[in-house]
Amino acid sequence: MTTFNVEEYAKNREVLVSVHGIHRVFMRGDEEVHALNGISLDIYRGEYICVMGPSGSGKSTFFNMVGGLDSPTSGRVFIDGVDMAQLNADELAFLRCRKIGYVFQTFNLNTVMTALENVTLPMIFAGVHADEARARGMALLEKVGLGERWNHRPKEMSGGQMQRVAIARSLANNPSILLCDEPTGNLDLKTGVEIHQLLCDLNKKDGVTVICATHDHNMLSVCDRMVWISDGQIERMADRANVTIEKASLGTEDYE
Amino acid sequence: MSKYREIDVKKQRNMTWGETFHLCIRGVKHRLLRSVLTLAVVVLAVAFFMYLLSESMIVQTTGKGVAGEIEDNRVGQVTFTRMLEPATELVTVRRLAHAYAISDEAALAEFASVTGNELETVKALAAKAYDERTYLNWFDNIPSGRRLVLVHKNLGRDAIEFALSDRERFFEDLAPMIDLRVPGKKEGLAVFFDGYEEYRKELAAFNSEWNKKIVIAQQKMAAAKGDFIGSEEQWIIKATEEQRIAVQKDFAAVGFDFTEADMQVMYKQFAEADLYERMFIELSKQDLRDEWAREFRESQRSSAEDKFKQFADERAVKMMTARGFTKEELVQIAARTEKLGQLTMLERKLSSVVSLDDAETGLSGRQIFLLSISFVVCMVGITNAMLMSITERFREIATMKCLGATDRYILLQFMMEAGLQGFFGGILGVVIGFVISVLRGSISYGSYMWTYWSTSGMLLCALASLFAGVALAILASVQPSWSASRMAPMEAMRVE
Ligand SMILES: Nc1ncnc2c1ncn2[C@@H]1O[C@H](COP(=O)(O)OP(=O)(O)O)[C@@H](O)[C@H]1O
Ligand SMILES: [Mg+2]
Repeated sequence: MTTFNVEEYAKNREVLVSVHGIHRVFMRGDEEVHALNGISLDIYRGEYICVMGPSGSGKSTFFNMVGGLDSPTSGRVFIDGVDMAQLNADELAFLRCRKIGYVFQTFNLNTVMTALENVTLPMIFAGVHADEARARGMALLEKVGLGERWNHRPKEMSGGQMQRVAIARSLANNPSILLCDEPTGNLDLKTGVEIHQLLCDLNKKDGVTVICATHDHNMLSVCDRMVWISDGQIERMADRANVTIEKASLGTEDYE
Repeated sequence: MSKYREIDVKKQRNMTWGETFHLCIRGVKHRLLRSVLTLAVVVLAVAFFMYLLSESMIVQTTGKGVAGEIEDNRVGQVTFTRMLEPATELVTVRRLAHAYAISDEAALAEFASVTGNELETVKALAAKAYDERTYLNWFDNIPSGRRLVLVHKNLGRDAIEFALSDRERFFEDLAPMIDLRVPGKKEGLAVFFDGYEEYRKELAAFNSEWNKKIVIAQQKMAAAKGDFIGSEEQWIIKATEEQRIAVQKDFAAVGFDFTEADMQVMYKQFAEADLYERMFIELSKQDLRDEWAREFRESQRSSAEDKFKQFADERAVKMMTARGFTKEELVQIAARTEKLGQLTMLERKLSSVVSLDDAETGLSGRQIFLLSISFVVCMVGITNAMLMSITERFREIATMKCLGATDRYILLQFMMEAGLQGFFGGILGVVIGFVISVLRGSISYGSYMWTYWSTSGMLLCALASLFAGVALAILASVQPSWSASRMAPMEAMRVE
């Protein structure tokens, strides 16, 4: 197996997210839990990066740092050159609203709202005019293949459809980053593949940077780069070009 | 770090109230039934407020109306007593105090004209009389143990005089009784004590002046009666129109506020009372009682009042017309008995809930206590229910924060949601409270409730209860909404 060549990979790429030696310690009673143990990583614009690792390895904690949902115990996170630690609550809200889209394992749709209302909610937060929000929301729903179902509520939809709505919602304010924390974790295999395909299309066609945590092998066929995390540290990295052939020998089975 | 571009990160905009409200309504519309617990607490609380308020308002308005009617029914006799019976000092005190309490200008003017005093003088005296009544009441209502300490076994004016006999000791005894509320505070009582002797002198002079005029009125009445045998009331019934007017003029000359119309009312009421009396005597005669018992097959012999009520019956009409009463008279007495019966019954009921004498308004201490207790209980209930609903929705809240909601927005949204629940629950509560109080009111007071019905008062009660409901819900939601707004957005990522 070839080692990951950072210099070569970084060539002609622009850094979008930069993580410098972050640690995150949680207190569970009197016991310290080191969820992240010094992770440093550059993520490049337009890249589709896959974060893999067993449950409890710190993927979600890492995502919280990158997404501005939590702050590291030590270390720094830059997004588009902005030091997250410098931002106050309202500025973080601004960032979360416009720069980052979130896709959750549990979809997290608002159950009392229709698909369209869910998609337009971040636009309302951003101050987009209702008519424009509606038009844009419809376009997004069409993009994820749910144009017909704009008036359905989450309970009238399947898991795959709900995740599509969630993806459309995450794209509401044209973010540069899409953070997907195990987006297919609650879906069956076939629907999972469809969601991966959708994310891949978004990445390739619209140039959205996708950061995705997963257990799922199928992810490997669509991403640009893979990062394995274990015990809060980066275990290894790989360029997809180098791993497709070695898929069987990757050892990802261990993680399932 | 030159390779990083500095981008422009602004503060997230604040949502307008309109946008927040719009989103809120959308949520509440679907959640209204799901937040049954909060809603139920609000509905209950507001229903209770509304019930207490409207019930007390019904009692007040009906009570005043009934008291007024009862007074109207007795006005003839009361006027007659006022003009022809010498007043004791305490009676004068009561009259003055009452006129003062309800600002009865006409009565005060009459006092002035009869005793030959200035109106201002009478008003000042009436104010003091009112104070005396207040303090007499207060002395008599002090719990007996402490009253024994303060004034020994004395009651009424004796108590005041006893306290005055050794003022210093009295105030010394009073000082440690801090929970004993003195009307007008201790300073007020001291001022009253200071002026007491002079007031009593003034009052005595006033009263004897009044009674002198009563004697004149009595003489005029006696002159008018001439050698008529029977009471003054009977004479007024029998007298001719001119004679009555002459007496009325005599009384007015003495200074009484007594017009021809008043004389007319007095005449009517006396005539009615006389008719009532004659029928009463007739009905208690043995032969009529036997006949009545036979006709109506009564095993139990009914009272005269019961018989009056049966005057619409053909058999009763036949019996009574045979004894010289006209049909109109029977109808008149039946109606009067019915009405008086109702009024007395209502007076008894109402006087237990409201003191009709002092035109008191508002809620009683007990009701205020109940209201505040229920307010606190509801606060706790709603806060609890809201906290529960917020823990239930923590993922939704965190997700909204991921989508760009600010703390301020979350706080506002939750408080608004609570306010809306308070509003909708409040409307339901008002309706329930209204229905209950009206039902109870109409059972207790019947048509009298509607006679003295006050739509504006009821509306005010409804608004006050609704306002209380909304305020309660918003107040109770402050803490839960605050904790919701502080919820960390990373909760959205958590998977159970
Ligand atoms: N809020 C928290 N409080 C305490 N411990 C936490 C918290 N969040 C995560 N952890 C711990 O940190 C570690 C990493 O968790 P997580 O990032 O969720 O892993 P993953 O997403 O890879 O399954 C786990 O041991 C987890 O128990
Ligand atoms: Mg996770």
